[in-house]
Amino acid sequence: MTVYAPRHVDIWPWTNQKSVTGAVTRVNNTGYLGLGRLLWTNGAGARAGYWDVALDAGTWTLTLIYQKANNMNSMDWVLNGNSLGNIDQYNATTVNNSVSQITGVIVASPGVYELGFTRPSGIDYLNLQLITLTRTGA
Amino acid sequence: MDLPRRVEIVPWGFWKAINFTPVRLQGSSYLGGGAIGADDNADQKYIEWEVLLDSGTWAIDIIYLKQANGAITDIKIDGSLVGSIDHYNASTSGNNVTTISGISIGTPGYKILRLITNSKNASSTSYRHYVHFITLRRTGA
Repeated sequence: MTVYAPRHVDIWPWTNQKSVTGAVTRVNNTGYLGLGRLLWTNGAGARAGYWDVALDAGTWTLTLIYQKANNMNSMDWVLNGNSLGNIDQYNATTVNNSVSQITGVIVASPGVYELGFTRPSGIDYLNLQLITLTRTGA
Repeated sequence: MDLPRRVEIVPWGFWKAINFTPVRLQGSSYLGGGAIGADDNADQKYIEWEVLLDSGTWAIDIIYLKQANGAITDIKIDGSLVGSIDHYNASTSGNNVTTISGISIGTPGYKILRLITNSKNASSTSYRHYVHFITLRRTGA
């Protein structure tokens, strides 16, 4: 039997999540692509966010749209617990609608995966406006 | 795994392929808060996504920007033309909606949805082609 799984996934992170660690708030602003973002508020403890996604096998690109600012920390992205890379949200000046990508994400078999990030410790904020997963190759 | 019967694409997120320099427009009056397109003002510019569709009859809802320098964009699925949208309007207006219905998907599976500029309205001065949001809906067997 042919198994089908999506090859393009958009996630509005502020709608809901599988799970989060740390305090989060939904922020609406007319200057954001998508008009909203999910903000992990400033805290010294661990923070994280997870979403379940159905993915086909192949090579994928993870695209994140978010706000950079001088009070932002960095995210360690994982897929089923395997490290994908780090996205640093710090910038000396605030820049809404910043775009960062992690390319070459290998998905060995189609199925449901847990996508997320961790920030084990450290102060400052984290945020996300949109998460997009795009399959770029076999 | 069951096949989707509704697919929503945030076009300014990311894409499978593109042949123009993308510009993400942000606007508080835009549905979805943004748009993807180009200011390079050339014809035959495309952007595409790979979508998973069940077999049956489908409709595509495209929400897009009209401008005095807008292009005409063809909508194609796996290379077959299913309809067009005209981005031209004498004054800029967002959130225009065109629904292309009666699209037959013969076999379930992965399809390439392509938006490609193909000429322009006689009154238009160029080929801009900004899109806010795309929805594909299965409407029948």
